[in-house]
Amino acid sequence: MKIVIIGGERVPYFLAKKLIAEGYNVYFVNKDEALCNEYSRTLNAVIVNGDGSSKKTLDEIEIGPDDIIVLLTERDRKNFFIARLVQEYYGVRHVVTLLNNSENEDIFTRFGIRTLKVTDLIMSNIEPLLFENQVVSELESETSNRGATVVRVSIDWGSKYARLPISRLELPEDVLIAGIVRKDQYIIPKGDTVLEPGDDLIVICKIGREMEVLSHFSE
Amino acid sequence: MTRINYQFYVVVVGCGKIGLELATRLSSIGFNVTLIDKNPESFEKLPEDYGGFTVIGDATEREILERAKAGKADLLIVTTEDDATNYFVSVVGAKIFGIPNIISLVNNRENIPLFERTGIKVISPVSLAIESFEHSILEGVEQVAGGIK
Amino acid sequence: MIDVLVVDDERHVRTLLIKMISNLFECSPKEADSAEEALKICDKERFDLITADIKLSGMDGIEFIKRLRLRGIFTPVLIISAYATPEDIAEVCRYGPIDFLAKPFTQDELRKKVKGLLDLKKDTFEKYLREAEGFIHSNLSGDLDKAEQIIRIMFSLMPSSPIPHYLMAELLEKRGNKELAQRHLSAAKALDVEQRGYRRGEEIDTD
Repeated sequence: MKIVIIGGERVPYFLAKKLIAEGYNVYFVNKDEALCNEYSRTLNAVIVNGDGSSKKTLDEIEIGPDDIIVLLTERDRKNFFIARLVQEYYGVRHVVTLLNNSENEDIFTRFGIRTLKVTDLIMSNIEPLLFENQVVSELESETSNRGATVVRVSIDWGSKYARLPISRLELPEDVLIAGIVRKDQYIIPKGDTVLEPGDDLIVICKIGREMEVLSHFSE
Repeated sequence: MTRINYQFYVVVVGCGKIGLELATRLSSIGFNVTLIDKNPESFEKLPEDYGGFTVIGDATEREILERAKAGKADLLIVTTEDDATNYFVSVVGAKIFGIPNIISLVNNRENIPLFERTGIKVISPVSLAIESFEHSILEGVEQVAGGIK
Repeated sequence: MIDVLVVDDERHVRTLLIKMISNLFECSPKEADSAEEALKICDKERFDLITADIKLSGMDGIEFIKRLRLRGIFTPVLIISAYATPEDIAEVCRYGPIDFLAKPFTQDELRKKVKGLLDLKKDTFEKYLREAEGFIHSNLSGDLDKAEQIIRIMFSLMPSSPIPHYLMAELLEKRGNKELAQRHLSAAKALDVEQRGYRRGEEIDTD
């Protein structure tokens, strides 16, 4: 069984390195001649300089049904075409492809091609950040001209408030916890919400009392 | 050839030499045609008597096929010079938009079996002279017209 | 037989519309490639239906419809456009009767829209007919003027119908303008091939 990586630039290098270290037989197919020359010096893999969507190139590698094909070109239509070529011509069962446009997932799934949804992956990571920023900036714009401000406080491992419920924080007067940012979530706190180390608190207080709030939490 | 009277809707992808010629002929015999191409300048070559729609955009994007109302098409003809594009658009047309008849240009002869195994009717400029190429389209078109009636 | 004007600056679409409409409704549509040209044609001729693109080079489709209505022409307009914004729709709806059809369209979609507008026109025409009759037969001062306004709209809605002429003849008779009344009556009879008059049949022929 061999693993054939088609297309891509830097990702295949590290992927190939890892796979080779684990003892797999790796093939690397790319149109870019300079890249192929570089990898032929640095990677212990079979490097094929050619167009992966051409049957002639694929024939050279002698792909069999048990081989795993990894498609990393930047065009879904090209990845799809190569996937279908290796399925139809060599009976390949396992094809994994980079999915550039997530709306195309259905068509890959329909033909049994596994997909890596890059856009979705990045979106799912930045979405909480976007949401959190939006919440904070909205809070700031709501409070700024009305004598209040927003302060962000981190609860670290040594904090005496870690693992305490909000109701037992003994907050100074005119200080309110508007939210807790915990990993990917934004939590709207209630009295019985328990703080965890690593939490970030979004705190609203009167302008001029920011230091008081910060020192309260760092005691 | 039966008169078709604009009851049949055809989406033609690619306004190169072949797509342009086909769209023009199909419109002149009474097909309701929409021609899609990425490049707006390619439509400038359309002759005076072409009666049909044009959509500017990349047909591998769903939005563009939706804009061309591909879901209502009786026939999809894909004619770009890239086989990966032709295959992808053909499969999306058939499987996602449910277009009952697909005809695709295949530029590289070695790719023909893949298209045929997927149920796409193939036309190839290499193996067919342009005359018989049109003949094979019109034949396909007659089958469509017959099938719908 | 209906008279149609096709206004579109995209020649290919104009060609298709003319082919489809003449195929569907037995007529030979006139065409214009700009709103300016279309207005000139509308000053001279009356139509049962106008199709117009919203995005026209020069005067746009919405302005075209506004100017048409200002001229007292209430011909139904089918707006044909790839993209009509909700704002476009909201604005132009005040200048009815109108309807929208998105490009590209099938022949069947076009047929339904055109038929819908023609039916709407027929309903509107019948409503005006009842109103105009009411005003002609009422004895309140000013009602004859109201009737005259309505009859003028009826003329623009259905230029080839004898009915507005019959009404006009009756109205002029009441005003004592016998000579002009007689001329409208002859015009009505010339158009009214089957000599049905306007109150006899319920059905109004739009074709």
